[in-house]
Amino acid sequence: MVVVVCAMAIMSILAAVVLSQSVTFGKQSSNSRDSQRAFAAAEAGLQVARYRLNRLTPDGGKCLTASAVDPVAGECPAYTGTLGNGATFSYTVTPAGTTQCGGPALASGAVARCITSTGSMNGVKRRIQVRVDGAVTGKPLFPLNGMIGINGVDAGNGTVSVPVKINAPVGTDGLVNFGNYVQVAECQEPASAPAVKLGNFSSCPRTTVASTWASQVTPVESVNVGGITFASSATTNNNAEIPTYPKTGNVTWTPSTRSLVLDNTSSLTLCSTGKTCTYNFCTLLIKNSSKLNIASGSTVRIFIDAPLGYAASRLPDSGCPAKTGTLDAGNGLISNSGSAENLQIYVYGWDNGNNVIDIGNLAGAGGAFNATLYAPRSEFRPGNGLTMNGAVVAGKIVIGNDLKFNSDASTSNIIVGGGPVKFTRAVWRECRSQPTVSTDPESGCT
Amino acid sequence: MRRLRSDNGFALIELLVAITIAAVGLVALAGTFDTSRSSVSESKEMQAASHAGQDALEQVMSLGYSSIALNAAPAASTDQYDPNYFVAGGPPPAYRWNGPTGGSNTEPLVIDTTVGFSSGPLAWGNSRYGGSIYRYVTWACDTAVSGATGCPATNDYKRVTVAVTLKTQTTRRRPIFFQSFVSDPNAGPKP
Repeated sequence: MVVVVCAMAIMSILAAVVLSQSVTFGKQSSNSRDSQRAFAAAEAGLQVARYRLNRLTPDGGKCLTASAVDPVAGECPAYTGTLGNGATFSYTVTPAGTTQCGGPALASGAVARCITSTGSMNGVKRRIQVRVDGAVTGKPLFPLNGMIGINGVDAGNGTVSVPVKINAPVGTDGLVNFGNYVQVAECQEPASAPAVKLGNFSSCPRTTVASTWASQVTPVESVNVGGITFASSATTNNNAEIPTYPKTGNVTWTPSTRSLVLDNTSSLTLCSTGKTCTYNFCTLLIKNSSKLNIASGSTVRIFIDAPLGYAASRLPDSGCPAKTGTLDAGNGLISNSGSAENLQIYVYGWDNGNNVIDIGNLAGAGGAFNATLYAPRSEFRPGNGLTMNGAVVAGKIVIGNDLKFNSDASTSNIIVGGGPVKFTRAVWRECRSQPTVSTDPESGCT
Repeated sequence: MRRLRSDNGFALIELLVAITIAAVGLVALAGTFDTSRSSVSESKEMQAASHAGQDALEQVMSLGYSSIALNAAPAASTDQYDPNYFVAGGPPPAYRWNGPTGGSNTEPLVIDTTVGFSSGPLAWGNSRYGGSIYRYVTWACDTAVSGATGCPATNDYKRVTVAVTLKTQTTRRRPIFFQSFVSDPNAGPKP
């Protein structure tokens, strides 16, 4: 009897082990099946994301879900979809850039986005990531990474201790007329341009360019940056958010005339971190030591639109009152802590070219004016003491007695024309099933 | 009075009881082993079916976008264990893409008599286990691209569904469904 009981016990243990193994094998089989279906779902997410990217052509600074959206706290939100077999997928698409998802170096002039897709089936997750590359077919909006005054560039007199210093090339089809102590890296002019006039102790080595700057500069009517034009910016913009932005003092926003006025040492911060914002103004005045801030980490495009009767080429009419279309920050400051490409100012200008853009320098306020200014039908007057980093295209540039100007490589990222970028799959890799950094949906894919 | 012999050892009744217990135990154990064996066998079959399904899906996905189509609409079935149960006759012929999860949404089948492939069934497996593979390609409409008014009429991208059936077992099993999307790599901006 004892032998029988012992034998039974041993056999029961064996049976339990076999049963347990078969259950485990069954679970593994089920997991394997779900894993394969999750993988197919993840691939579905990649396909949907790429299709939407190429069909909806979101602005380069935007993420993509079911539409173009801004990053939230620096990360792109996810879109979740379902399949008919119970599997789901969730993807994120990063803004376009030149460093995405690893892989080989991008081709010259290309941009990339990173798509990360997670497929889920019965709690089993598979995560894959692709880099999609797109060739930028347009051309840089700024043909010169420096200053272009199409019809001429004037500068006053610097001093031995405080010369006017432009550490970038200057281009013009007109007259270069510099006073004393004006030091410029290079003057680029077509052969038809008049001889450079330099005062004492001034320098601007001349280089001849093949074609006129007027022919190289994109007409203001044709400006199309990331699908945004003067006309589209008049109706599709972030103007309505202005009352909600942080401000101090006397800030007056008039939506009906699209007029923004900062007065009496007031301040206003446009946009918010991680976002790309577009504004369309008829008038932007920054007066009496006021300060217009650009939110850290944001990209802001300011369109100063065409005034009624002063810009006949602007059709349909912008809706701006006559004699507006002005930007005057002569006694104020526009502060952008980012690169020049993060603050893009476009000024339609007047047909007669008499529109004047003043960018001043708050004495003692410090900081540089990091921006691009595209105003081929306006006169640009940087104030004395101003330090500007970026690029300028203006009808004419009139420099006072103290300007420091430096080029900024980021300005070449501003592309015009050529149509939207089409993205194709370049790099593929499978990731861990969960991001290794909870706040970074692209992590865990090394 | 002295006992003539020891009472050590088995009485007949004890032996019978032991044999009975052992027999019952062995039968139960044999049942357990049999259950385990069939469970393992079924798991292996399911795993093989999963691999076959994934292979079939990848084969379709690796075709050129324009070649991802059926050459003819499969005939609908009234057998709910048959993947063709979700075929809707049309016109146009369609497939209930979320039928496997109880849904009733249909999408038109992508038919191209020139470059398309057969829906099936295609045999898979070996001498021990196997079954059939069915393939379906339907047009998916994406409201994010075509909008609520554009759907379901617009053909945005293709949905590939692969169903794998198993050889008849003691209990019939529903097919295993695999599904993914494939989009046109040359798709351009929305007009």
